[in-house]
Amino acid sequence: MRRTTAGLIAILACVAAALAAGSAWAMSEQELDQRVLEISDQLRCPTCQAISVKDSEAAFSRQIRDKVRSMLREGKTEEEIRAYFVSSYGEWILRAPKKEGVGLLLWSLPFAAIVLAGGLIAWRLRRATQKPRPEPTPATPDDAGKARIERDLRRFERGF
Amino acid sequence: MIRSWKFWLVLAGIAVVVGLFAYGFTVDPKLVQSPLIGKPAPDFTVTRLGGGETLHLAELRGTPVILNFWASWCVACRDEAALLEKAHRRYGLESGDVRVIGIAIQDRPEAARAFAERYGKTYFLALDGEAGDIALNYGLYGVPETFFIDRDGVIHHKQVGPVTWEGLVTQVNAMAGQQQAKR
Amino acid sequence: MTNHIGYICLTAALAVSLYGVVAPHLGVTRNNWNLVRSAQFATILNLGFVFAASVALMRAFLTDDFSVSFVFQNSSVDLPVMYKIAAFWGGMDGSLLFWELVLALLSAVVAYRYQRSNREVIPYVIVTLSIIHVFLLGLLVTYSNPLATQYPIPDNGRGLNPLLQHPAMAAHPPMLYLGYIAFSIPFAFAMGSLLRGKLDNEWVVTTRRWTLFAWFFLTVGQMLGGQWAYEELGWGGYWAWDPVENAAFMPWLTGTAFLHSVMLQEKRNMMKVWNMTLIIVTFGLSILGTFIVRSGVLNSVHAFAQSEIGPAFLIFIAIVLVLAFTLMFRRIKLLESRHTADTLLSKESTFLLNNLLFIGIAFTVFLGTVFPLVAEAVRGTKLSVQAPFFNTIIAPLGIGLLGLVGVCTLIAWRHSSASYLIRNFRWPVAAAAVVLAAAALLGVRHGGALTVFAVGSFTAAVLFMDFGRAVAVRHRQGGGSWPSSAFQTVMRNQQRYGGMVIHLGVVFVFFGLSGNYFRSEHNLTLLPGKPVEVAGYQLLYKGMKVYPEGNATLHAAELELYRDGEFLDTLHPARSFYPTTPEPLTEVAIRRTLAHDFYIALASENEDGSATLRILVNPLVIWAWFGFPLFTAGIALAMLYKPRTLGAPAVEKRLGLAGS
Repeated sequence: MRRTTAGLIAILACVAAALAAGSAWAMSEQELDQRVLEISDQLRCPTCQAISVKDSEAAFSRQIRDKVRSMLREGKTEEEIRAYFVSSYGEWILRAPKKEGVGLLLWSLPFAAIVLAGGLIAWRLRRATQKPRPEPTPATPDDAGKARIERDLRRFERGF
Repeated sequence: MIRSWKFWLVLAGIAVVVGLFAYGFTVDPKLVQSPLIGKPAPDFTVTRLGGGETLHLAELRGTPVILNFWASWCVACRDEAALLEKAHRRYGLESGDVRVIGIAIQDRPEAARAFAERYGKTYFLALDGEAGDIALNYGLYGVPETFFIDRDGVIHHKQVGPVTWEGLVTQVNAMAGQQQAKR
Repeated sequence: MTNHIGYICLTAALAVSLYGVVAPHLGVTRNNWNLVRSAQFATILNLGFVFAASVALMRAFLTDDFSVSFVFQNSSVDLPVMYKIAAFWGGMDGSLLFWELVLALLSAVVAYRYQRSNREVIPYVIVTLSIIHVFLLGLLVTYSNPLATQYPIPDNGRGLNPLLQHPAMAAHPPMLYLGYIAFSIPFAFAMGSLLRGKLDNEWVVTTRRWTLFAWFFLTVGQMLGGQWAYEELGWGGYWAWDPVENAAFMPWLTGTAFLHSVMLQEKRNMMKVWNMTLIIVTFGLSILGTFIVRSGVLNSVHAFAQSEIGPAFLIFIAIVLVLAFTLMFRRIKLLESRHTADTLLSKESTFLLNNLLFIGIAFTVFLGTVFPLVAEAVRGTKLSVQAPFFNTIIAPLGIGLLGLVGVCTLIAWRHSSASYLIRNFRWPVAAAAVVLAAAALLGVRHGGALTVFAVGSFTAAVLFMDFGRAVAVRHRQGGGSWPSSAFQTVMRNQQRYGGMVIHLGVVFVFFGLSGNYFRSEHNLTLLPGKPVEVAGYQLLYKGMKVYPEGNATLHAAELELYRDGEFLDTLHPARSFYPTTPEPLTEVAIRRTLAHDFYIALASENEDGSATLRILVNPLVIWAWFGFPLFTAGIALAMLYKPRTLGAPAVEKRLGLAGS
């Protein structure tokens, strides 16, 4: 009984694996289109300003999209496709820098700065609210201040 | 003198930003450095425009190559056509020092041939395929772009935009090594 | 002849502005108010001269006077009149003159309007504004002369880029400039106060309306730019995080932070150093914005040839920032208040958080914009920083701000107990849950969109609840009808409810933006006569029509749109071919409904008679445009509010002094 069960499971597993592999190979046209769009959205149009290969109608962008499609058909992964374009165009072709090296600085700095600043503010707030605040004494002007007040009063009276 | 450290921090910040933008004046925002410099030139095989012989880039090893990308719809390519032709006659035909090759991208055969005739390009001309594989392999983002490939098939230099005669001579000399190119 | 007179007027204006830098200070130190009065008059003279020069330039445009180089470069004989006028600010030189003209007008208004109420500070306000005039006029008279003539005189001009021949694009620069320039006024008052050493809240109260005015125009200017990008550029989006867009966005961000933060200074005498810093940074960023747009240092849509203007702008920015911060730090003892927020759960701390988030976003935008330059300086190779970076970082921060609006409206000054908050947040949270469920049922699955819906509904519910409660109280106390109670409530507190209306507009904008999370894209090739199914619609391509329009030839695809067999509309996505540009321009066709925009771009006409279309279904876009009327109404309301100031007239009245 056990052997039959084991055998059945093995067969089912093989069938499942085959199906999975088969579906990975036989990407439907729609899925292919979708993946082309996704990958093209990560590449910048080389002849345009701020838009992606996906959004651009320029000749180079069309050629890049077609290249992405044919590379996907060959079975290349997203990483390999990106690496190909980086090897001929440089990292510039990616719309956002890789999260390593200098790029890591870019990605981490905003949140790090906000958290740091927020923490600083919260800490100073706590200190200020916890410290017993002395009664604010009414300010009495010193000699220089008094002189200035006199001067301003005179000016005011003169109708300046 | 202001003692506050915050003030000096702000001043330092301003200095950094201003310095960065001042640096920005020294670089061309449109120029992208090619990662292919110093790397082997991507291989290709093309058929001569108008039919005839095929050319396989790898077979040209041993001779420096000036690989120029152009198009019939490219205005800046018109002036440089004469210079490239001159380089072809002087360093290619006469002494065989250099091979000049022109590949038209995103173009049609008739238009390309008409352009070549009009602007006097007699060296080896071919068309990039519809898919633009050669252009993409070379990381093209406009025309004209010219690659200078040395004897070992390694890309020595890339010129973005039209070539100048001085630029051509400099590159030919550099790739020829000891040999002096005749002016 | 007029062109030369115009140029002379610019030189005269420069001389007059130089006087305006020196005279007020002399007037104050020598106790001679007449000198200050003469400086006030100088602002009028300046305006007169600059206006004359502007008239000369406009005349050159409207009479096709191509002896003027600027007119030659930006206009042509066949350009429609509206765009000949718009060409005035279509290039660097003309925009500088426009900037100077508007600033001159505002300076003259300020010089006279506040001579009584802000007597102490006004001389130095004039000094600050005059310094800016000297900079602009200095450029106009040297590198950037819009009235420079050329010889021989060509027959026709180069014309205006067809992309710019769109009403939104004609209005976009003047709107933006009005916003930038209006922020110079609070900045001038801030500098005036620092120079004079008068650091109470007068400058904040006086410039309140200017700040609102500036904010409104910066907002409208950017919305117009987005609308133009959406309709004209044809890639389906309205914001691409291009350096030029970022250059306008940054001062908007710090300006909005400033606008809120000064309320805390008015009401609780706090945040003085924050506010001084914010206005200096906002002003600096607005000049930096012009620098980025015009200098060519960063690669962008607006990229012009790198000119000599760039270094001049950079030096000016550096000097202004260094001087302003030096002034601030010298007077910092007078600015630092003893008040801070009392607890973490208070309205004050939400304002602090508000500042933090806005500045955080501005920092992110700045970082992303200059990072390619940094990377190049450090590594020698170029990097790109585009939408994926900005959207990923800024979206959560924006949603945080959206929620903060709701929290801040409910939370009390000084201290709120947690139980108070929980009680009051019950209904808004319930509203959020209901909307969330409805959205999910309607098929929205994307986490980001659902978050925006939830947070946005929460905030909207808070706003309505807050308003409803106040109206109910008034209705109960005063009797009268509900509408009259509502009207009275609003009129008794215009600032608060003006703000409420604007915040409601913000909620709409966020709802509109959230559609980006679940848009869909379809690339189709259609043969004539064969209907195609796309996104629940049926499209029938009838054929291509070719006809001239203006100075272009249009290739328009005729498309019929059906849903469930029922005819909806005929759409004509087209490509227009201009004689001057090799690549055709896309004219997209958009069918707008509340649910989504059906957006069609004609990608290509193929040899076999088929047409390739790029179709985008952009959900909820129209909701974002609903923000515009709400912003207008809200700002109008907020502007009505007149804060009580203790200026010289009030003091005089109290002391029984005769008016001087």
